Amino acid sequence: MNRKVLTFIVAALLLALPLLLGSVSEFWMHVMIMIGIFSILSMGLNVIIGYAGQFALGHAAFYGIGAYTAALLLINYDLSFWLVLPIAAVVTGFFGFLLGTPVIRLRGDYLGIVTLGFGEIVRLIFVNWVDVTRGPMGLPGIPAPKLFGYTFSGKIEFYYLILVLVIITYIVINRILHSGIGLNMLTIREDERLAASIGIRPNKYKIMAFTIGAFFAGIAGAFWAAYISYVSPDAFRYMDSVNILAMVILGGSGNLAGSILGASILVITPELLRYVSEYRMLLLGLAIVLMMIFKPTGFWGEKHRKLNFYGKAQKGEGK
Amino acid sequence: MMENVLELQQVSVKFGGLVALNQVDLNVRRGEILSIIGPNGAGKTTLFNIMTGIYQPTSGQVLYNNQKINKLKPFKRVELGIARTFQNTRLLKNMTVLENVLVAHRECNKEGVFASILARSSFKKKRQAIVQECMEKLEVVGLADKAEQLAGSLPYGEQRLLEIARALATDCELLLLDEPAAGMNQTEKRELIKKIQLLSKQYHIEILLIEHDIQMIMEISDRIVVLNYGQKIAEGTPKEIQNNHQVIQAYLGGEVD
Repeated sequence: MNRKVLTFIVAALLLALPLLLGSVSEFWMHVMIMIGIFSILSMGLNVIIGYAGQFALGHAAFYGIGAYTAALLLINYDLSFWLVLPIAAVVTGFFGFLLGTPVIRLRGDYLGIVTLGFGEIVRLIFVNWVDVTRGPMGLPGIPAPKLFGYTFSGKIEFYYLILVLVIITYIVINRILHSGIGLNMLTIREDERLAASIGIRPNKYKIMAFTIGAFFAGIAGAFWAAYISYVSPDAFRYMDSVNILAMVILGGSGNLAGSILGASILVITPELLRYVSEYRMLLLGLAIVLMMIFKPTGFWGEKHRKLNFYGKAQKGEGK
Repeated sequence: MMENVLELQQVSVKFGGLVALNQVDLNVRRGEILSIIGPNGAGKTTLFNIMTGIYQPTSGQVLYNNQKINKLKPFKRVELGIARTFQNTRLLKNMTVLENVLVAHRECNKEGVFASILARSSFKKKRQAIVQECMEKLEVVGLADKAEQLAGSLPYGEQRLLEIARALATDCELLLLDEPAAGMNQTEKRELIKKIQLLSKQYHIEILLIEHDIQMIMEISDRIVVLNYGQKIAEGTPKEIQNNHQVIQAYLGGEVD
């Protein structure tokens, strides 16, 4: 019962936020939207790292692929944003599948290095494929989404859109993770040899994790492109991958809600620390190191996870 | 007429210069409980790893129901019906007992992405059926009342039983038990013997057993195979093995226990 009340309060706050913040400052609305984008990204990466246990470092590349796919489609083909959003997600998901297929043979650090390389390659393609991406100049003038003839112009509209996207992402990923798929991913993370010897195909689920992670990064990317109305390679650097990784780890890998918490912390903190300008990244780094030492499971780690995958179905039986 | 379920023909395994198994012939017949014994390092677990596909034989053939399975991956062999437990229990310690069994269930491995997102009522019904079946497996080993506990919190003997339940959930025809009684006290061992016999007689599962407890072996086995230094030195009924000269030598010469 308590949980329901809490959920209700949070939902009401999130819904009413533009009324509270919107009049005070456009800037904080922007921060809230960025939290939304990074929540989607880190939830996707959490599937790969937290559940399937694959240490991937190139998540910004998927984010970039989604953003560029959406930008190119919106600018060149004049398609509706509502069509472009799923297309960008599917295209990015396909890239996740493509990357996943060869790299799943690698483990741990090696996988990290290869995915890091993938991230850099993708960024260099954005920079150097001038004919299509206009290189470092980026792609400006991406049209804003329209809904029933109404054009998204202010931050408030985008805020509600990202809120909906975050909720959908959370529900979808949560459903997947609480099915046999999630159970199998966890088994692979814990003990790959055991997984194989009880009939689980490790490679299938690892590729699936990459595809799912990339798919949602594609959604975040497409939203970003439409929101900022401009994409350039600068937004998808190595540091952004590390940032997303830090969100997953800080929030608690293996817990979806933790990823949202991690994204909130890591988006807000640098803004609050703006007055110490140069030192803020340093302080953030220090915070992460301390975190790793004193609370390696993250702020909202896995132990808070509902452990029973078939929870509801079973409680109903009243055994 | 004795039908062979699993057949090893002249199987050798070499790790570099070390010969772990040397031209071993072995048959598991339909409906039997076969035990493998031998001093430490005799190659018993290697034999299991060959059968389940974790290692591949350097030479020789592995046949399952007359089908050559030399190169099949472990998960493929599970689909064929070969399941195993581990010498050092491998459980998902942070998950519940029930979940540990669920992961091994065939249908649980078939769940698709879209089906799980939509989670229709027919899908949920199917899940309930899966849960029900897994609970039955837990009942067989006697852990049904602990289904909601964390697997890591179980005592050692029960963790071994849980491994058996998990192997059963794969719907196996041939069950390989790697030292199932290790760490159990006498009462637990008696219970285990009853359960293994039940699996053999009532569920018609062929059982292959590695065990150090000779008393238990003698009581439970239809046949016994003795390995020493990677070679099969004897094969026969418990009585034959008890009086086998080579076996006595291998045990008394090799270990003071």
